[in-house]
Amino acid sequence: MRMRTSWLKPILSDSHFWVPLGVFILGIILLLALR
Amino acid sequence: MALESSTPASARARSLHTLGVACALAAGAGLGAAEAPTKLVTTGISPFLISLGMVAGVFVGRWTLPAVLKGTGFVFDDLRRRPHLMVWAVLAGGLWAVANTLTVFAIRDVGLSIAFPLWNANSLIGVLWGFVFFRELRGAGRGAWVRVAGGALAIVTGAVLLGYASSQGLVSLAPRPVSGVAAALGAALLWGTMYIPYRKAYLSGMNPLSFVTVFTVGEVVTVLVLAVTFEGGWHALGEALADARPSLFWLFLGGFCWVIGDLFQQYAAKYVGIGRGIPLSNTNQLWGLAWGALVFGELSGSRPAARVLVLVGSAVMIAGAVAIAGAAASSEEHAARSLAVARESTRYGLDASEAEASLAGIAFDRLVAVEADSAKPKGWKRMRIGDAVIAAGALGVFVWLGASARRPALSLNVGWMIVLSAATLAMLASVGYLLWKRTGFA
Repeated sequence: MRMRTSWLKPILSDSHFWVPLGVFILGIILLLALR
Repeated sequence: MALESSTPASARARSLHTLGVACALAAGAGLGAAEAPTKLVTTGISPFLISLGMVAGVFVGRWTLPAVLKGTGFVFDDLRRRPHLMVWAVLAGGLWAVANTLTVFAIRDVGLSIAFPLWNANSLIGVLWGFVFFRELRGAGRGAWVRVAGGALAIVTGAVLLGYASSQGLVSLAPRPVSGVAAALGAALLWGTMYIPYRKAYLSGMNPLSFVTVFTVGEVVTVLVLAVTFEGGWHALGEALADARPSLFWLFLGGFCWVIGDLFQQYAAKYVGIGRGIPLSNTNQLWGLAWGALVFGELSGSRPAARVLVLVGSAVMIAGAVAIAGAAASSEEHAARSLAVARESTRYGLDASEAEASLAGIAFDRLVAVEADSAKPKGWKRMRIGDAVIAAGALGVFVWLGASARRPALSLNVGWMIVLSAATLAMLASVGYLLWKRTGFA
């Protein structure tokens, strides 16, 4: 019934996903800057 | 007719609100208690090793508790049915780990008393993301808004007062104030944003016990990468770990306590949402302070003004928690939540009714069927043996570390330790029982 051959695609097109990912990258940059 | 059918539903919603609030407060107690074993670790261990030691304990706990409470078969079935959430869970674990490391920098640069209240502002970030992404507080009346937003602000204010009192008003000369504040605020942003994946999982009908088993993979991998990077490579890390061996037991124990607290926080995020759940579980600062002051004598010799600040800060924080606890979601808010559920279900091809049932604390049919299957003697035996092996392995790790643990020379107030341990255990046990009784850990 629920075919999810590509479940990565909906994630990448989900606007919600880019906020935590962006914040994660920002956190890494902050870590590198403050070390 | 409408009244008859809506009354049981609203009674159920009220009951789940109470359950979620109880979970958040229990989380505060569990997370606060987790700070105690780490206080036993004396100086001389790098902050990255402390973080790694705790996360190793967290990893063990996150695999053991779900196996014992629900069984690994249940967890893997839940993950298989919502594979996309594994990506979200790993990302959430990474966010946690980076934030945790940022707090190390913040403490180094501005001290715990300034850093702690700053990163506790994560609750305000949580309220914001809950509103923007998950329609939390949409349709809430002005009263609920005032209670939730005011309560969250009061908890942050209480945190500032408690932090200030902990330092007894003597702010040490911060060597790098700007970078310290940046690190603490960064941690708040990351820890507030980490709840986006939490909420996403529960709006999709995932069980919190399944979510945390994958969350911890992101957590442990990120912490390991950071520890290797900052400690100067694998070899140096291995040597540092060997030197820290007598202290590892306490760090593991702290991590294990932390998992229990965090599990309740996960259930709070599920049943009351992140806007209400995070500020309430941030009451862990009260418990942390109680452990520090009563058991470890951290405020002994402090000036009367500092003690007054502790009382005022605690009262403000409790008032904030009471305000949020009293702000149950209206039917309009529940309708807005259903829209958020529908969005997730449509995008990821899930069954919205399963997610709604899960949010109502009911295990959905298919999982009930899976559990029924697993109850058959052969399957049950196979699954339970696997779970027992995991539990025995975790116990073995603790015994192995405990055998070489060294009790640090630190004066403790044993009486208060017993009182606080008993209070925490009673709270965790009673809320855990409620959770099992009302939802079967759904």
